[in-house]
Amino acid sequence: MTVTSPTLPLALHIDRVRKAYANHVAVRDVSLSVPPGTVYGLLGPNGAGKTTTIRMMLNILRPDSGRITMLGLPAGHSDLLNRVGYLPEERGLYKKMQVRRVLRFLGRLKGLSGADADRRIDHWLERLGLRSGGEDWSQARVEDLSRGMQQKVQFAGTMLHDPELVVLDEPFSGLDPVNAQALKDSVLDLRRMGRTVIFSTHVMDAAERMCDAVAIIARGEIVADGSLRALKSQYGGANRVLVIFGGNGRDLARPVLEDRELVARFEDLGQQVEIDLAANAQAQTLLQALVAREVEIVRFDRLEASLHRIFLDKVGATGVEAGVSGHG
Amino acid sequence: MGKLFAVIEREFMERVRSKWFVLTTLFGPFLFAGLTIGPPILAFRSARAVDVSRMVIVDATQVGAGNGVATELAGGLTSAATPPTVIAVNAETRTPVVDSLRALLAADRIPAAVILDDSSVASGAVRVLLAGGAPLATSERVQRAAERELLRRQIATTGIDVAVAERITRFSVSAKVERVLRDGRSGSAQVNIIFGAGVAVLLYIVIVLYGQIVLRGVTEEKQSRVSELVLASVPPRVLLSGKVLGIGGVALLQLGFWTSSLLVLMANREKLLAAFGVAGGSMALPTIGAAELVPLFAYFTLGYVLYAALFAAVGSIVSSEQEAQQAQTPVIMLLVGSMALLQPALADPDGPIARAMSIVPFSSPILMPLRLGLVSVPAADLAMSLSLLSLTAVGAMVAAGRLYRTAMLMYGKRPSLAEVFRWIRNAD
Repeated sequence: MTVTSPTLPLALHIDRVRKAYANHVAVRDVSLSVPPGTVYGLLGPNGAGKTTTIRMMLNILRPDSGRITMLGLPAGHSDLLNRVGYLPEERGLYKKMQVRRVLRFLGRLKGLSGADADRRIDHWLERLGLRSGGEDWSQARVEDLSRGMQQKVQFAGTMLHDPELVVLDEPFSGLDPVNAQALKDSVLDLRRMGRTVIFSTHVMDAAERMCDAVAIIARGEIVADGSLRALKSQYGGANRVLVIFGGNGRDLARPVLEDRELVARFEDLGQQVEIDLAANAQAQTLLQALVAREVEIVRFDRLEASLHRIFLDKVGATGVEAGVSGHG
Repeated sequence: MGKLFAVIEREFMERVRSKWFVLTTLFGPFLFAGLTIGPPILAFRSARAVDVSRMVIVDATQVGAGNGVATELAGGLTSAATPPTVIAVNAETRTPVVDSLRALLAADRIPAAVILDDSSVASGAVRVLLAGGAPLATSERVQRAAERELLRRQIATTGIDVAVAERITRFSVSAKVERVLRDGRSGSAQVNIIFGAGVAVLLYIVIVLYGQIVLRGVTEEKQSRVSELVLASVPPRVLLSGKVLGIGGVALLQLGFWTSSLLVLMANREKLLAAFGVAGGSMALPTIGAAELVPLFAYFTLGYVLYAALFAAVGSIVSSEQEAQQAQTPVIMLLVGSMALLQPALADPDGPIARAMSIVPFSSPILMPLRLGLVSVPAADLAMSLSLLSLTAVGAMVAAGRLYRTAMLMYGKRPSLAEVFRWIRNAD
């Protein structure tokens, strides 16, 4: 994984944690390590046990067995409360309260003084575009804000006390592309400042671009974890090719794609095809075969395994369907 | 501690700032003012509104009793007021005169007609006809005037001195009842009963009212999903105690304002009535010392905490306000049950029911203050009652806090009682 400082304890260490509800096991023997300064993705389909794992980190739920430490302290330690920022998946604020008063309240719950909180509230509201020149949403009631704006207020509440470790549960759900980008920028800023960010998502695209390391969780178990680079080299690389066709190239290429000597399997996305080469085949041979048939090619690219691909490989269609219990 | 204060402050300030609070708090004194000075003013107004000069007295007595009644109605011989018209009739003219007066009454041209005849003089039977719009106090005034005049005539026929007779008729018994209590304390029985029952009813109302506010606050926090955010920053018991204390503060503020405005009103009742031109007797307020106030305050606080914890527990296991209305029935039943015992406790404040129920924690916050007002409660009873109540209140808060951790994240189906107990047992 990335920057590991020997003097700092792990940002998160989960050791064989298990949690069962009345009629199913939500998390079984999950172990994880997140070094400080990392952006860490917890990936998995709905119902895989992401939210349960996160709630146990935050001591909102108690594990049935196993140990969790954060920043070197056992989960639930009172010193942790003020050093960790948490944005739950189930998001809500006091609807009738004024935005500034809600944020001041959240800040004070994290041990900030009123004046200190006010200063930081201004900073975050300006940064998230809720307070600029003519507009000032800090005086509005929460219920008068749009959903996206409420989500920004919540994010501000998570960040007010400048936490060392930030835990975001499905932070992108319900955000429009502009706001999602603002959130991604904030996460990358946190990494630049050396903070640790752990977030859960099923949006692979976002995870792929932001994370240093990920864990893929399905049916309550970790099915793959490690740095993004290590995962990619482990799950594919040299023998994956992306081809984008032009004109009627897709039809002309069909015999080549169905040639078992060359292509082990392919994922058909229309004019774009992701190809797994057969065991002994070379990308070069494939390209020659396509050119020989006068297939019009717009792009021919060697692929790293996408996180999406790894995810599907590891979780499989069954894993996605098995995710039936309410929370991830 | 800082976090607890943050929660208390939010609960307190957000409610005190609300329109609901400002309106109900300010409405209180107006209601009290209406209740304390309204009735005397209304009574006075309607008494003054009786227009004696437009009344008609039909005198069929042949002895001139009508003129005597007319003079009495106008306020006696020395009065400057215009007395009513007296029409002397005989057996023949009586019916047509009464008929024509009935027509005038029906048209609201005269307020009242009084018919006196021989039976009036002999046995005091007087007929009064009122117009539809005549004030209620009219017949009472007529009756009093007729009584004085007819009584005088009765006395004159027996030959007793009128002055002596009047003194005799004015004789009446007025009993000042006083209870002598075991500890030598004494007080007006009436005032004590009113005070004791008043405190019990007030505590009941405040507990129900503010318990409901706690319930709604918890349900709202769960419904809006804000609880998870808050629970990541403070332990459930801090959130719960902050909520109960903050809302309790609102209750104290409102109650304090109401009580002091009521005291100011009562103290100035005479002056206020005088400002409206009404003479009103002063009302004696029971004097309460610190010795009585301290246990009262303790019962209010502990009773509120106990029931607030129960209401909070209910609020944490339900998913909507409609569901909360149903689920709170057991808690409401506990309160209503205590109120149902108010009557037997008032009848026999030292009886077995009153004694037992003033020690049982769920009814003691309502019944013990009542007993304290009526009888002298043995110190051992008081100590046992208070310690049981404290233990139960603290126990309820701890249990509600434990339940909170699990229940606040459970949406959908309401848990069974068995599940609730398991959650309480398994937390922490």
